Amino acid sequence: MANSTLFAIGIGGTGAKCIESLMHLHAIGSLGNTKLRVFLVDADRANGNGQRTQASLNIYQNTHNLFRGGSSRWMQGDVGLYPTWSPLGDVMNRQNLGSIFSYNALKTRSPGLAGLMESLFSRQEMDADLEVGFRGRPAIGSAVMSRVSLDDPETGGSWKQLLSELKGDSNNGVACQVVVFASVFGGTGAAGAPTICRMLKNQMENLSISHVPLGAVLMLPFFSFKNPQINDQEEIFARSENFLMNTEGALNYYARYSEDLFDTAYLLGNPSYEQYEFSLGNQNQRNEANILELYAAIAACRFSRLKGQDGRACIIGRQDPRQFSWGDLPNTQETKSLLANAARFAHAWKYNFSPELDQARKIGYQRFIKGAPWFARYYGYERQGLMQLFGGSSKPRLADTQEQACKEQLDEWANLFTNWLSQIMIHGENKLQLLRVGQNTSLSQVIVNSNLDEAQLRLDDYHHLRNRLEEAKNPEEGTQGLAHTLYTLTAQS
Amino acid sequence: MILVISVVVGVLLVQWLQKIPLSQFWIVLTDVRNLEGFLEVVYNRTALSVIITGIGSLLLWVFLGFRARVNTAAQAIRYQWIWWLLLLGQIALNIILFLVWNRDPAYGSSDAVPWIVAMIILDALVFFWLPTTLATPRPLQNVPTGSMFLKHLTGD
Repeated sequence: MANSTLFAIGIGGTGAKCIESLMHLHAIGSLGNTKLRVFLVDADRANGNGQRTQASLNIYQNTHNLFRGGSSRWMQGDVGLYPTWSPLGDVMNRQNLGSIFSYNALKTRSPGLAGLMESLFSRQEMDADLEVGFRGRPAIGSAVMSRVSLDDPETGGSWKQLLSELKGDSNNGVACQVVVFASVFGGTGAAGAPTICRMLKNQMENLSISHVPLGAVLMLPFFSFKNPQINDQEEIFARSENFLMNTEGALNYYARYSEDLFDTAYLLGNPSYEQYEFSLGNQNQRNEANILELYAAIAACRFSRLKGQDGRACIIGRQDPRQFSWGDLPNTQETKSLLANAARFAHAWKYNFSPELDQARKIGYQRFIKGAPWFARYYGYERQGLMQLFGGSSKPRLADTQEQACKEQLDEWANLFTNWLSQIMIHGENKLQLLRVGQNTSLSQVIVNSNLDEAQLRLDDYHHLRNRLEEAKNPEEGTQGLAHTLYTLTAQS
Repeated sequence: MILVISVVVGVLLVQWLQKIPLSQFWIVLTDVRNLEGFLEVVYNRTALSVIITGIGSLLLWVFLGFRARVNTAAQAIRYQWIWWLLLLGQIALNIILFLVWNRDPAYGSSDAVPWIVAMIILDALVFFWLPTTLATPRPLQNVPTGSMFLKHLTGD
């Protein structure tokens, strides 16, 4: 049973992407056997970034269900996902600021308030459809968020689930922490983080939930995009030239009103911006993973490990602004070891062992074992010819439904992880020289500039890995056993 | 160790054990004029060839086994061709050499042909098949035909 629970709340698209990175770190053992509970907040429920994170979490959950409890540290931690929560609620006909505040009714009933609204928001801002989010306007987001009540059954359903689990775990002596991921330069994150954290803190006090550290991972601007060629000049959308101004406003707010809110705040930014494609919202807003999101996830792991005792604010910077090295990552040795191990495992599975298992089914197991003796350590097979004299094996068969399900699930996870890693390793035009995965990369090349000498590098290939798989002492059987043994063996000292 | 034992057993077999049925007339060669001459010239030359090709093929296979870098099962299975070539190649070469030397009218014997051919095949099994099935380095250890069966039989 897990002895700690980390409740991770991702607000807006950037928050969701940080959660995706946290989930990948959790899969490879960064959080130990901590239980991870994920809560996504977005007015734009169809947001591509949020959907991508949800899809990734589903793959993680399915993989965890099939592979948990193995001998390696991979897939040990449990993950749960609450339904995505929208501050707009579930009511479909209240999708703009004007309707949320009943602006048309205010004009007749309370012209003064209507006038106040007109002075704060333009007509376009009041009419903008918020189904695609708060359009990079924290002012819109703040106005909507200010009306949210976690006691409201219409809006508070998912929160009640979270608070109930938090209270239950806390009462059972499980160490709980809450960490919030949000950008401070966009719409949903900038507007939502302080309000949601304040509400959460109040709710925890009301429910007598104490000793639960609250951390915030706040993302300063790290990407930009070219403004779109939209014909309607009045159309409201996020503009990257406003990011710094939004950031300044948000940080001022945090400094003034949120000093007592967080036990620890991690502020992350990057002076060289990643260029993303512009998107108004919805499924089209699906950006690739960024190294800064990995930093955010590492910050959350650190927060969880230190149980919130990490000081008020942590700062980290690059040693050399012109390049990026392993030493620039926090907790370098452990981070490198975890990421490199997982990258080598996913690479080995995707480009060698999974195709090999397909080949085994194609050419027949007995023939395959002639060239791959390791196979017989993990799987049974129908013996042919004279080999039938020795009877059958009790080990699971690769063709079994369960084994095939495990293999397909692991294929899916390896694809997901290598794609995420490939995206993390590209920043603008430059490739970060940390890890590389790809069809044409050999196992020893996955870690760029590894510390191995030439003799060690010569031993770091699939040939020796296959030998070690066969020599493994008392390995677990089946695809689960193969995966966990392979994970352990792909660790590079 | 298995390699050394096989070579020692093979040499004893070729140089001593297989000669006994011929020298003790358990196998009667009716057409040989000079049995001692046959053993001295035809048999000993063939025996030397069997030993050299047997040990040579074995060492070559072990060398290839240690040198092989096998990343996929298919790459390992391709070594089967080399293994069969070495096994059948040494048998064919030794039979051809024996037949050439056996054409000598002074010492040759047609009656000896099936016996010597059988001995050449047996010797190849002792010098090459047996040690390669039991002692081929990883991950080619299952490539020699019969290796999986023999290993199961010996409990390895």
